[in-house]
Amino acid sequence: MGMNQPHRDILAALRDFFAAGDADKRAEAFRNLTGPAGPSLSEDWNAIEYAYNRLFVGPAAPIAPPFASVYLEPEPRLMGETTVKVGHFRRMIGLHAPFREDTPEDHIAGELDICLHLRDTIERSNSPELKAAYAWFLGRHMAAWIPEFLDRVRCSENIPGEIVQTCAILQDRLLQELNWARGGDHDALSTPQPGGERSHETLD
Amino acid sequence: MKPWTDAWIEKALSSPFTRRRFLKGLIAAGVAAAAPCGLPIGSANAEEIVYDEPYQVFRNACPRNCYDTCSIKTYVKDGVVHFIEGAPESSFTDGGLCVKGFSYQRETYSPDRIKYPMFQEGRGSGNWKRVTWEEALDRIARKILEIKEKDGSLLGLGLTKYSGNFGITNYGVEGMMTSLGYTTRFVGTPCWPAGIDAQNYDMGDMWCNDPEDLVKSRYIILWGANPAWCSIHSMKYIYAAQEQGAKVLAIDPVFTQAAAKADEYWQVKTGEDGALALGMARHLLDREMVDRDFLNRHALGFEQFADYLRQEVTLDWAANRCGIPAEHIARAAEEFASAKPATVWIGYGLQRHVNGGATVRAIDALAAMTGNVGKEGGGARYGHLFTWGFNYHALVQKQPEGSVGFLGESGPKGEFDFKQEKATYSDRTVNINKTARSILELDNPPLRMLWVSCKNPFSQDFDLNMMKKAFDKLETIVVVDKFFNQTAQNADIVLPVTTNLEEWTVNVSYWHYWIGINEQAVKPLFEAKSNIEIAAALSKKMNELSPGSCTFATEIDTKEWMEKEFNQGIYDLFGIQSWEDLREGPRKAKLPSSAAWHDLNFKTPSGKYEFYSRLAADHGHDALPKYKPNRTPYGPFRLLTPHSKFNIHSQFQHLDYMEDFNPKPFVYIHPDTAAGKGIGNGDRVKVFNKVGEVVLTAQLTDNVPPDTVLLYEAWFRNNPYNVQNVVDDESADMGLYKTGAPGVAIHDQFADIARA
Repeated sequence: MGMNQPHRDILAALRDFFAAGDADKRAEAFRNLTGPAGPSLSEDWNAIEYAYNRLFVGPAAPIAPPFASVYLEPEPRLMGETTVKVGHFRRMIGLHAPFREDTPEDHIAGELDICLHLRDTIERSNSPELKAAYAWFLGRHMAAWIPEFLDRVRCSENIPGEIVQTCAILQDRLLQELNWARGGDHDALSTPQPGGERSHETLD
Repeated sequence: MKPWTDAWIEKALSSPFTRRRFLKGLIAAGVAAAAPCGLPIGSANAEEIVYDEPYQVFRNACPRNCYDTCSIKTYVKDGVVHFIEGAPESSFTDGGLCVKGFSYQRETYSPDRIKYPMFQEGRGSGNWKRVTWEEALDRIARKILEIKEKDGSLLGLGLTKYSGNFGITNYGVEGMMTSLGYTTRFVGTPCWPAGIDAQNYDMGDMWCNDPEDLVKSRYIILWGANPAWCSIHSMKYIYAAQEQGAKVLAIDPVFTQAAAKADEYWQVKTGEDGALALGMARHLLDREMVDRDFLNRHALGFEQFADYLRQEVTLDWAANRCGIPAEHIARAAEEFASAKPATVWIGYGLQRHVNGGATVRAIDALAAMTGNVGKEGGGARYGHLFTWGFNYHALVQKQPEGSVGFLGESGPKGEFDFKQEKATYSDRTVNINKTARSILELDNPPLRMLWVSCKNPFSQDFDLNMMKKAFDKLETIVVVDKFFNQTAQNADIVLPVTTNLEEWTVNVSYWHYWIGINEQAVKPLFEAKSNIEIAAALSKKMNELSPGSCTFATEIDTKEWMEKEFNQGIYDLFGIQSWEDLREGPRKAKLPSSAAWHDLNFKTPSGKYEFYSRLAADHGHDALPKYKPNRTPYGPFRLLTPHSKFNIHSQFQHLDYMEDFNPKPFVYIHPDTAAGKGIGNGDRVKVFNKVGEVVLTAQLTDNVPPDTVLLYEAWFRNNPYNVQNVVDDESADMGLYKTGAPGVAIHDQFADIARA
């Protein structure tokens, strides 16, 4: 597991895993995530790719679309107010739009990219404003949708171990990042609350 | 408020000023300098912040195959469509859309959209791999070149496309095929061809009054038409006419929503509308309630028609055939003939029969003999292509030099083939209504590759089991679509196409007389491309691999290509100086009269209304609008599969907005029929015939006749339901003349039912 790797490598590998457009890039990201000492899995990256596309891409309606707006809008959709808000956040902290093509900015890879750069910049600058912004982004924004997103993956059948493991690392990493940004041992990202509704205030 | 509390950040995210101050603060504090290499924090970037702006308003149009072709205003902020509304500038759209149209924002932003080009590894396996456009086009282009190499022509490449997107630039799909060479084309239309031919025999063209003049009618027959579902914007004119004293008679085998709004409703026996019209005609002849002046000066062959009526048609015969009592027929005929003007709206459903063209001719005759053709508020209304005089710039392409094609007869490639060109070689044309059969039968060369665009053959073509076999025969299937429907499930390659809010085009209607541009309101999401961008990209790839193998432009500006569709004729017709005028709103054609045929100069060979059409006889039909029997039943119950109000064919129903109202399909059965079969409301029922079967929930209603079961055609995203399991590909009587292939007898189907 990537537990002993620097946080930035894990965030970068998670981002790259979800940003990859093909099996080779995804396999590379997974190896970066788990490291050479990672567990030996099936490594049938074609099969993983098919499963990944069924879950997250399509062309059939994906089981767990990896966009915040699908989980946070009153009616699931792309390019909702959530997406615009994430875009505003991104630019507020000085980042350009993450994707060359027109992928909504609240795609999980785009949000992990925000995490990566915030963590890096905060460590170098020690900016309290950015640290507060990071805590908000993790605790108020990502914590509000990632649990349901991961739940949809967990509830699906025949999911390759590589995807299961990546999702577990994602949950663990985000929780650690949140603890780092805020302190304490909040458990915001572990399980959704009954009824699927999540208060944005639970982390205070 | 401190700038590092959650509350402050929440506030900042809704205020461009505060966001900018935050970033400036970071720069001032030197945080930017601490950013890792490549993180584009800096003052230059701060200047590029996009500030909140008022809504940008774009003009759009509904490009679906619908009478109403609504003009839409789209409100965009931050590059996102916030809401849409019907354009108030169009008196027809009148500021409102239908339940389907209001879902366009939902469609564009559906998480279900096809987002990238993808390959299926094993057709039907569900194992999909994302590929780049480059990879997808390379595989497609190499397959096309392989076919040309193997067969010496591209006749092994077929196109099936119909009405999924009627934006004019989308005829670039046909253009793309032409630019590759002579190919196999599925021609004709499942929609309205028998009626088109009928009106051409009678009047020399299909041309209808402006629907806005329905308000002038004194008597309106809605004959097999349900505008309360299928043309909701026309209803306001019908209501206004009623308020002014007009009577509305609805004639339909099904008690529709429009029938509920009528003053009188007749449940006619399906497919016996022609007998009813002829019975009315005979009665009016007997009463001499005919317009002799019109008949003498502007009609040909009325006396032969009158002789036929006297010899072979009686009121009682008509009543027996159509199930409407003779006295009702007589009374309504007299009311119709006495009202000046009176009109008939001829629905498309009533010509989807083996006698459909003959039926439309009989109804036309009723309108004509009463002097209602050419009158404002009158007319036999069916449809028109009066406003479709575009350049078809995207459509008209040249085959590459030396292309080899089909040596045989060529005809029109559908009702929208405005540029028929003669050539030594031609495309190989086959009947779109027998798509599955044709794929199985085509040989020398066989069809090897099928390009599907603006169409969902698995949902809309007939005999699904045969279609599955047909697809199995194909070597490569490319499906261009927005959503993963049943056809896409059986494709090798899917390509994502833009929604109407993401592309430039121009739209007109086959019913009303308005024109609207369709602006690119937002950039295409993900990797979607418009049909003409796909054509250009394919052309580029073809020419890379084999220079000269495709004549389509390799780089296009889609806005320019929209502009290229306009010409002086269009400008003059709509009274505009330039297409840019349409940015101010849709425009209506400048019509000398709201009546079609207002000058009574018909386009028939005689220049008159032809009760007797030699052309029809030459084409193998009766010269007169004679009764033609309906199809012999092949099952105990008639099966109807009409449109629902929640979808247009396989579009819309799959959206969650529609599922909220219409979550699953039903079979509608008359309570007496259900009782005879031991079926209760809500029971699972099997509907089956020689084609196949569907299993679904029964809903008992006396809106359908006892001898009929009804299923609405639709594609539900989470349900394998498909009416093509129980509809065969029997041809209608007419359609070949003007659309290249006969129509299809969609409503001449039969089935049995049983508890599942």
